Amino acid sequence: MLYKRYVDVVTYITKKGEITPVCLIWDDKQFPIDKVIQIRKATSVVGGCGILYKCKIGKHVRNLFWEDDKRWFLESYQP
Amino acid sequence: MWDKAIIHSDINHCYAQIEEMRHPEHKLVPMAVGGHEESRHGIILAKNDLAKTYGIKTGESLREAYEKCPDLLVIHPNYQDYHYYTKKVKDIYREYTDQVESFGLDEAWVDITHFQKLFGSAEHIALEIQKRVHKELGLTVSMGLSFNKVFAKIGSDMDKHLGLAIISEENYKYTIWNLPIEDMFYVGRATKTKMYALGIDTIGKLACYDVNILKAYLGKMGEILWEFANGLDDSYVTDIQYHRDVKSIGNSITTCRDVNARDEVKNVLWVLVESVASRMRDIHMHGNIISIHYRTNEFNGLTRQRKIKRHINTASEIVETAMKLFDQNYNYTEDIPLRSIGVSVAGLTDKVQMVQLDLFSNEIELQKELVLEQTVDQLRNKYGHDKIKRCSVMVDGELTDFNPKQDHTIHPVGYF
Repeated sequence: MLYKRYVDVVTYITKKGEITPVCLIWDDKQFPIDKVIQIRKATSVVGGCGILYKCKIGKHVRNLFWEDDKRWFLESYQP
Repeated sequence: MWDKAIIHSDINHCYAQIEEMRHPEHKLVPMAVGGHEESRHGIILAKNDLAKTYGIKTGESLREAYEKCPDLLVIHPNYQDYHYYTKKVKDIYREYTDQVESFGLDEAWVDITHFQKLFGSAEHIALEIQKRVHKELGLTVSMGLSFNKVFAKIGSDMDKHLGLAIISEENYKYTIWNLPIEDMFYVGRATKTKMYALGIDTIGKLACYDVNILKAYLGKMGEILWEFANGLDDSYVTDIQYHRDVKSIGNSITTCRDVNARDEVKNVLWVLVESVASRMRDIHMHGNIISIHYRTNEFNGLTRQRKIKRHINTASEIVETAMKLFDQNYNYTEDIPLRSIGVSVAGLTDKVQMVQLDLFSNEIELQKELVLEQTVDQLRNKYGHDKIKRCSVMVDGELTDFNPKQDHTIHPVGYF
């Protein structure tokens, strides 16, 4: 079961306006994003759509969405 | 390859679908998007498929809907979201052509005639757009592909949910002509009755009918509908930069309770007209056709208009004419109480013109009134709408507590 969870994300924005998530903050803990595997427009199974950043965080691969040009949410395995 | 290829694309039950996309759990229950019942804006704006199985219809009141389905989940509309996502859908269309003409939030015509060499056949482009909207935004659009705008529009209603109806010059007689007359663009309840009286119950019968009789019976519209039915509509899809001239400016409100006293009507009118006049001044327009619209609490409506001699944009002058229209067309003591009231000004012009002064009107007073209203506009822009109000509208604060200028939503404009 996946949950939609809005998260704080430290984001790197280039002078051209390209956005890359750098670090995810979950319950005050920081989780550095090691690699962005894929970037594309997509819909999420937990509801909503936006730009999907498939990220490698430690050993896990997680889908992080940039929704409404406004905020980040994670397809999370924990509520 | 099509000589002229126009797609009409329609986001199916748009508001409900956007809500479902954002909250997939809403797909599992009968759900509708509707206004606030407390403020009497309680009608169904869109519903999902489950709600449809209960016979819930767009436009009916929340009360009727609850009677059909007591467990109906009603969501208040989030217009900001709808604007955002429908714009995103249109952005996808714009990747294929610069000719994208919106028709309301959820519908658009897309002319791909000149892009068939670049992106592939018209059918291929249509399917690709459909697929992309579904994949990237999670929304389904139904489409009609044809050689004119009217058939494309009718086509998009033929097959909902990712449907694509192809109406070519070869097959329109077998597809469009068999459809009932009410499926025709611009045939509503009133025209349908007239058509039935002539023995016209399908689009095909309309197309084969004598155009002169139609003209005599239905006026100019009869001829236009006949042309539509024969696939002769040759209007073009406007391009992105196209800016449609403003034809009229109006505001209306469903009041928080029914009104029938003259004073109440006048107070509501004041608030509406102040917004209309202010919006006219914002775009430097003057108008000379004032029209009023009302709807009784039994849902019967009436519209009346009057042309005045000179072009105006001050609230006091508009109210004067609007009240005359009300006085002539509504009996405050005997008629059914009013549920909604609207006022609009047409005959707009932005030409600064020489004004023929009138011997009998007090020009100095009118100029003073204009300066006063402009000052009120400035104050409101700076400090907020409710910081300054007419004393008369404060008598019944509840009735006049709305801000039509800010809460104004633009609805689909007419085809013509």
